[in-house]
Amino acid sequence: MRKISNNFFSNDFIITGIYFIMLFIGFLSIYSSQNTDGFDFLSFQNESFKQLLWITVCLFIFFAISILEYRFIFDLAVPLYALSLFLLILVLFVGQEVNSHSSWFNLFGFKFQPSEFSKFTTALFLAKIFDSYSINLRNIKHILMTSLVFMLPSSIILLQGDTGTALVYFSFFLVFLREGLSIGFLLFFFAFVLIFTLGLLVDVYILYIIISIVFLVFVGLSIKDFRKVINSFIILVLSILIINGQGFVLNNLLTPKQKQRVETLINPSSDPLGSGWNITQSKIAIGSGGIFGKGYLKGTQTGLNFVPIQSTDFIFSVIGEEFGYIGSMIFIILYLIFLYRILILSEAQKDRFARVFGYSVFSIFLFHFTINVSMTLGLFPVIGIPLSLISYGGSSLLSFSLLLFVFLKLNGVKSAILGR
Amino acid sequence: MSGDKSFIFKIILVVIFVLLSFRLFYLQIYEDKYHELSENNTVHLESIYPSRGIILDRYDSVIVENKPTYDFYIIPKQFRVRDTSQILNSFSLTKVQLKNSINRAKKYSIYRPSIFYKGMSHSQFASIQSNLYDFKGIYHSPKPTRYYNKPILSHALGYVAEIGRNQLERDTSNYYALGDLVGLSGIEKAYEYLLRGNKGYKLKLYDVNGISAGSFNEGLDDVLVANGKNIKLTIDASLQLYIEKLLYGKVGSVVAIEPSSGNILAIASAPSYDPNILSGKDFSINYLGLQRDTLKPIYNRALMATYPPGSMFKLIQSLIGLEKKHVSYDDNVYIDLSSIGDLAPEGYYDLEKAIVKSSNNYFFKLFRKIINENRDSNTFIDSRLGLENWSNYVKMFGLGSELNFNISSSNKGFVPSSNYYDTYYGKNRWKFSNVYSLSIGQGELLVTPIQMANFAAIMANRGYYVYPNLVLEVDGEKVSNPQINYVDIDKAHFDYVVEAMEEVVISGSARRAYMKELEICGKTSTVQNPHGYDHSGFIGFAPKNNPKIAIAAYIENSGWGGRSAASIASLAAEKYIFKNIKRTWLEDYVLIGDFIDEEDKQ
Repeated sequence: MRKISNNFFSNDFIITGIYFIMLFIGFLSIYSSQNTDGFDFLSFQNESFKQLLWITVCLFIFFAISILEYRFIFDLAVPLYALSLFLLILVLFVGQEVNSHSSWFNLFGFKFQPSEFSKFTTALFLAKIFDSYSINLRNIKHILMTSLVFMLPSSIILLQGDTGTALVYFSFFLVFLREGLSIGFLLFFFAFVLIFTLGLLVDVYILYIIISIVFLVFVGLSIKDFRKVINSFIILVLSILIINGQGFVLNNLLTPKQKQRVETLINPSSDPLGSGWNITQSKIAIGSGGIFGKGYLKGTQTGLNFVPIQSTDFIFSVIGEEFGYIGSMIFIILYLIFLYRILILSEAQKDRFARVFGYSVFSIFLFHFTINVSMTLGLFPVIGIPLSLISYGGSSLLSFSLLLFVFLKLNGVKSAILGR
Repeated sequence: MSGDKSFIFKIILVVIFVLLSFRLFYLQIYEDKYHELSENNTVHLESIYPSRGIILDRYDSVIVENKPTYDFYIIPKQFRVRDTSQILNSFSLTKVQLKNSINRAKKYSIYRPSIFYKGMSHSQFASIQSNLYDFKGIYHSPKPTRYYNKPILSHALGYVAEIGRNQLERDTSNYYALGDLVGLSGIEKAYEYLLRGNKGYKLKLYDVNGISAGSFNEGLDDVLVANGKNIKLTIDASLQLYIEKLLYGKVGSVVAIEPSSGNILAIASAPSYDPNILSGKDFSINYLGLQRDTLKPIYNRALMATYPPGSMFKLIQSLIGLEKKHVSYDDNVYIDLSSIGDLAPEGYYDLEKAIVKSSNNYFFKLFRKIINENRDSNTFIDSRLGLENWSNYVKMFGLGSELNFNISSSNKGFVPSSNYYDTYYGKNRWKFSNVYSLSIGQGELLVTPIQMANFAAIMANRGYYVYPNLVLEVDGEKVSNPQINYVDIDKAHFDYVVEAMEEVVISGSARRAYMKELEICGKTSTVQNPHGYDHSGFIGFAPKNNPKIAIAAYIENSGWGGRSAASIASLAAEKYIFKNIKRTWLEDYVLIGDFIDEEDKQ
């Protein structure tokens, strides 16, 4: 085992370069979104100033990880994962509520969100599991076992009321896809998710009837193949269990408050300020940018604070309005190059640990980028997740940076770890 | 393609690229609707305030309703007036005040509206309405404000005021905005979510001059306002009004309950205040005034004040004594006056006579039997066991509990337990002689008026109670209150004690409460008060069979229970059952309110 730090900075200029460009764009956008009357830059009320502090912290972490021993990261996977689960549960009890999510710790005035941190630890732990146990995703037992690694934090986060972040964890299925999970299985899983969701929306008895009809059609089609009939029957029983289990989860496992959150998720009209207003404002802001944009700090929609939660969830509307179509496209292309580069490097990893981790980083960034930008463009329902590296927020910036730095570290030592 | 396992992900990236670039092209270049919207117009989100639910009494007479008042906003960038004196007159401002409020608004934002004038009454608004057109950059919005046509029930209703910054920060529902009204105590607070309704939102277009250019997207994105739900109380407004009239000028409280349902018919605390003064723009000044008043008019005595129960507690002692067979219906014992101060003469007593004469020495002896049952040869341990047992019985009467009453904060009172005395005196260092004042409802025992009214209801029901409640219906739907709590004591014992209570009114200390046409049962208390004149207390119910009303009254510093408290409770029962008052002489006696004997006044 050699300690390798000299090739850390040089290992991928594209990723490091774009990373810093993104931080810069993020800072400028937050600055713009905060730039209204009576604006005082050097103040802890000011999010762009706080973001600058967080960026500085990231630089320190960047150097810290560059001199860290590789082995250390590998060994930390289990304790870090355990720690993050503990924090996730702890925050349920002692956390501070922000926007009706109880997912923040408040330490000396600084808010810390363990659900952001646990993305990183989950990715690390997943990589370790895949590597240490030679996971084979043709084996249903292995699939269930490994899914548990991210389903666990995801469900705790769901209990915190932060559905958006809980959904992010499902991007790990992309990693599974790379590691040999059949697409059929993925579709199978989504069918159950669909049934669960339908169960919340549609009357249970109607759902029973629909499922029974689908079952009878399947049995009718495959009456000669005994195995298929048995399989259909198992699926029928599972579906009924899910529908009933959902009632149990809602009524027994969740407190009334959490139950109400689940219902708000399903039926957003119970939230009168609604996401409709946000989307409308965001679309007007982006649409008014035109081809060339209104120019930096000249956005009228965003400048007058028409777009709510603009520095976090709707930060892309600043870019769209002030830099127009050309600016937005440059931004999107840059981001996609960034993602493509992570993908290529991940695929090139010889070591499974590094590859699974790399794909996790890719999937998380991909999910955040795609969903967030689609949200602001009115292509996807608002689920309240930040635009990675751009949105305001210390916890999320640190978490994304950690993911990236550790990946770069693994990439840097890829040639040297074979002797492990 | 099986060689490159990242292929599908590359496809995903390409799909995302295509999707986003087309969508951006559509929004930013192809569709010019958004461009125009932003260039020439701005979309404002306007709140439409729901009308807060009204509050009715049990016979649908309105207690709380809404009247519009007007808030004015200023947008400094648009502010222009032709004649300054006109605006000064309209809002009765001085030049300096006007200047200050404009500067304050500018400090916040020159584009966005800030509050300019709050809570203008409807009549004042009508008189300046024609001038408003000349004030550019000043906008108004009507805001419903609470109005009380009868100034009653102020404590139970609570009040509504603008949400404070602290509460706003703690609020996680994201519903409230600065300046929104919120129920801050009593029913207004407990039923806030039902009463307030839900704000509506209108998306309105404004052109660059700030002139409304109609609604955005033809109003399709608007959120309709949902008005608050109406609440029907269990209160009988005319009874409430009458009781508050009787209490005028006194300090104390009266609670009346319908025994069969637990419905509160009246709940009054004196001194009181006109709830209208806490509605609207003078809230802060008036609230401060009420808070500084030494008689604490804002303090809800019916729920919060605790007193020793006094002699009325002898009823509970009798029931426990009977249930535990320390006394039976026809036991006759000789009582001397050696143990404790007493107003009853010495002689032979059965339990009924002891209740009617309110013999302190009788109950001293009975309580000793309850505490020292000789279950242990050590008198300390024996007392400990006896007191614990007694304490559990007392708690069955709802004492020491909030009675599930969640409308407003209430005091639990206090029922001492063995543990309490253990910490106070030390374990096994106390016995009957340390706790004997409990025998006549003095000592550490503390009860609230609502607990005593509930106890009166238990007597009326001969052994059970329904949790007291204030709300009958919400928007026409009945609020069910089915939980019945039984006292684990034989009903026959209750029948016996009720007979004694009737005798108390016919020939005992509560003779002033007697009424030929109505069989009233009751018991008085004269609660010793180290700080001044004794407190006067009374519990009772009427009629004896199939009771309609159970009442507790506590009047502070007004001497014997048989005077003010019994008179007020008796009048309240008459008012509720017959709707009008025949005993005007008793009414006059109460209204004059001179209950203390001349020789006691020092």
